[in-house]
Amino acid sequence: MRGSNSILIPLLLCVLGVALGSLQSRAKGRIEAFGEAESQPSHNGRVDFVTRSVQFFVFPPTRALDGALTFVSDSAMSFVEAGRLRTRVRELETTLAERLDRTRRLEALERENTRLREMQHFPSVAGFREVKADVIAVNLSNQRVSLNVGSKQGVQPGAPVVVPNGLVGQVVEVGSGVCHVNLVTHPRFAVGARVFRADSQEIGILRGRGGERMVLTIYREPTGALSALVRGGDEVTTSGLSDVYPAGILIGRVAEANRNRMTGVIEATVVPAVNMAKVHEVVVLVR
Amino acid sequence: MMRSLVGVAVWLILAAALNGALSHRLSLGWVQPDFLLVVAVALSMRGGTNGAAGIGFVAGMFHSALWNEKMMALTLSRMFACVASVHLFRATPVAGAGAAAVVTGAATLVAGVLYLFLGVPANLLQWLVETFGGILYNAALAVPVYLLQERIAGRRTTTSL
Repeated sequence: MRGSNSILIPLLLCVLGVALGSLQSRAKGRIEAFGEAESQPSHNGRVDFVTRSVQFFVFPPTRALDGALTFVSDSAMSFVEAGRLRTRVRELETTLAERLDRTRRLEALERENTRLREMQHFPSVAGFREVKADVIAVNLSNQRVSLNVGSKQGVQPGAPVVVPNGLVGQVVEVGSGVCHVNLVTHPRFAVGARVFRADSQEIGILRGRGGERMVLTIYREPTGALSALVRGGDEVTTSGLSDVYPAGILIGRVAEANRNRMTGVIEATVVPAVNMAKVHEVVVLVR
Repeated sequence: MMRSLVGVAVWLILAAALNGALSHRLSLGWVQPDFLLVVAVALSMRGGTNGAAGIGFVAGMFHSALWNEKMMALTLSRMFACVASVHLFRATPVAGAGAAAVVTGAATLVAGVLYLFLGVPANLLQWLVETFGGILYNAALAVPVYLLQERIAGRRTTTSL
């Protein structure tokens, strides 16, 4: 009796297994019996009641364990990867700094290119030879700049220094490959200047004051309206009455003008046409 | 009796969770450990044939539920593997972790061969690698499972089905 019982239960379980397999296959819409399962891969994706019931017990702990293992695995990987990531971040920061530096240099080159294009359109001045130069040092507090050209390039003291939009200053000291320039705002700078307006061609002497502005002094009899002679907004150019400066180079614009009632001398404050802080390439006019 | 049934159910559910969550993480190529089979064999080999058949059957159901397929192949192959493990364990001269490893390896072979005919795997080469790699993997796993089981339950027989 015990022997038949030990066969009966496994036998019943075999029958149950076949029945459950059949139930599962039917729910999925295919026949699974001795090799036919793989030959009919299409199924409707349903899950039979028995499988669903077993999954009810099996899936929650599986998901919980999987979540815990994923967390532990990710944490361990993060710990392991942290050093490598720090190195990578440093590499990326270095690369970024290099790229930013390159971008800045490209922008500087672009600006230089623009300026050089403008220089090409600089009108030639009769009787002068143009020597293109770079500003290599700026001392705005002393109203001076240094250029990378000198006697080798034929530069001599007294030579005017210009940019396309106006007069920069005058060369005062010359070395073999370098020269120093007093800007138009330098207190020892002076040039013959002319008010450039259709109904006024007044001539005077323009001097630097060591500040941001210059003063144009016009010696004139104290007659006539001041505004007819000079007024705010008038352009002031070189007069061309000496051999040093060619005529017609823009120096600046009049900000305001006053007349001394006793002497009749007119003093006009002039704002330079050139922003000295942004000058990088210049032209030295040499004879 | 009831306590034993609950204990077996808990062990098998834990093994199923390990199968679903951990097996693929411990895979060596195509070879994966089969925690359900290892635990089922460990629970059944010191009991009787009926209990082993029941444990194997439930282990197969759990395995099938994880995949949602091959219910018949998995229940029958696991059931016969567990029944075989009972007779194999009785035949070993010394009961211990080594014997458990050998029995588990042999049960894995039985389950694999039955699955070959009932489940018809698509790739025969993969089946060969899985089965013979699984024999070694499961045999190695059987040692700590056996020792753990011994520690928890002492030398009592865990199944009295």
